[in-house]
Amino acid sequence: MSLNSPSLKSTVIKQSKYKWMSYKSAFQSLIVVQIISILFTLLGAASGTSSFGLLQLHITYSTGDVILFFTFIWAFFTGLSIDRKENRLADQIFVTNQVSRHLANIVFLILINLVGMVTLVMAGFAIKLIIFWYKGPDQFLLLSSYSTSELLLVLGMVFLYLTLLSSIGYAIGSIVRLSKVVKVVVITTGVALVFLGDERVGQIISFYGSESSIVWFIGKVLVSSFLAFGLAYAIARQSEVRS
Amino acid sequence: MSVVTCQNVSKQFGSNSVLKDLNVTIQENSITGLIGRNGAGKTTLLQMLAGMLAPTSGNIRVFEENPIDNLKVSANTIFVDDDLVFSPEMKLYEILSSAEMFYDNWDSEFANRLIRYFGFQTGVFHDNLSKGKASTFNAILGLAARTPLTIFDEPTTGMDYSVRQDFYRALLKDYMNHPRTIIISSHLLNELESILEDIMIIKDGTCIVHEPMEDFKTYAIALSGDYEKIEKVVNESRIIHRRFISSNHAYVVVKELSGSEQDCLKQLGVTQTSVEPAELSMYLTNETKGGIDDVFKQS
Repeated sequence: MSLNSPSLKSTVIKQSKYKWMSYKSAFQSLIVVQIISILFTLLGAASGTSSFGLLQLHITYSTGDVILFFTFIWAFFTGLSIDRKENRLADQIFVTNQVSRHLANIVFLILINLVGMVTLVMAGFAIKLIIFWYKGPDQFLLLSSYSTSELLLVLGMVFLYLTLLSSIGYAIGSIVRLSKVVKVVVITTGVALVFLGDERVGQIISFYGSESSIVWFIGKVLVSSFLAFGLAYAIARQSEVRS
Repeated sequence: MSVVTCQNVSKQFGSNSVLKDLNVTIQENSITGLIGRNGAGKTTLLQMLAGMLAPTSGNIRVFEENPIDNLKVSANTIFVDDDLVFSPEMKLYEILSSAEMFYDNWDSEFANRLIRYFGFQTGVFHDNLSKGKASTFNAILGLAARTPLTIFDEPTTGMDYSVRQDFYRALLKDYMNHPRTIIISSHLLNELESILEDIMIIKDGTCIVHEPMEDFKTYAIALSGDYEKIEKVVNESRIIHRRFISSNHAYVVVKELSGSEQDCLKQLGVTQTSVEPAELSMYLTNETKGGIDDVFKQS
């Protein structure tokens, strides 16, 4: 029987397709998270009423911040869980090696982040539509308008943030899988830093968030994601495949 | 061409030494039965061949390459046991289509015929299959993948008798149509015996027998008679199994006898019979020469 010598590229493509079947819950959770965040936005819209003599002005604000925040958290946890043990064992049944598995994971994360990017922006429009239906056309509705280039910019920024967060999740995932002790330490430290409002957390966020140059921002995100994925690969290589 | 070569392979898990200095070569296009008791090291050896575990020391070559993290070995090998972890999000038809995508030699018509024969509904999740059904499905996957190296680690766990017979028959028929290297492990030789070309017995992490089935049938001989007489001719170290029928009458299985020894025993009135391979494999893998009877012996 002649031997097959598959290329890395063809294996990565096959594995990425396989992940769409074997990890549908990443997509399902995205939908659920965004539906919940739409509901939160609608319920939690801030409003204020002002009176000017006989004129009474009632203003309702809604922002897409909640959806953005929820989708970012989703991207982080998708990155965190994609290489968990059950998924690794499910990969191992078919043709794989470590490099192809990690590359397929990254390809899958990028593709699902593209989906997340589109649905996130669409969810923003959905909120406006729902408010419009709910309030009716006889009430004033002030919508901020987008130009095509602005919309593309928003899409691009959202995608870069999702990629950054999923790569950080991926790296942390590989660290916590080292051992149970490491897992507890990492989770405790992470939660403590966030809840104590440690200034370093703020510094990290503003390192990306306060960047005014688009080129620098893209550079920072791409380099950070590359380093995070690289770190995850280096850590995962240390451990034996099915142990 | 040898498909598998193990040189001085040892594997330790912590302080537990599972394989000790194992040397094995498996030739292309053969069906080898790997027989051993629970904990003898069968699964560890097979997982190392599939590149799932690295040996602690020694050298393993599969298709003349190191199987660890090796795409070529992975593409040409399938490892099937009763405990394959499939994605809980995939239905059987999705698993089958994935297998078709990954394995170049996959025969989907053959797979579908087996799926129908064994009465599977392909719209269910693998997790919802019973133990025996899951084993059967995994075995179908292993057969239809037609990989040059096919490894079955105790594939029949949980299968009922008739399904086991069907599986062995399907394996043999498909092997004859599409010769490849197949390794199948079991703690029992009984049902496997008829399909094997080679037998490999491992005990306590070392390979104690590795030879063609034909040779194994004459590997040992059973002696029945006065134990004192037998002891005069046959050295204690050559005894594989010993069972006392009465106080001095014994049934003893010994490794091959020379012509003169056979004549000598005949003159002493000791009966000589052949030993069934299944029975012999059980004696060889026993921890003690007397079996469970030793436990009840008052010394």
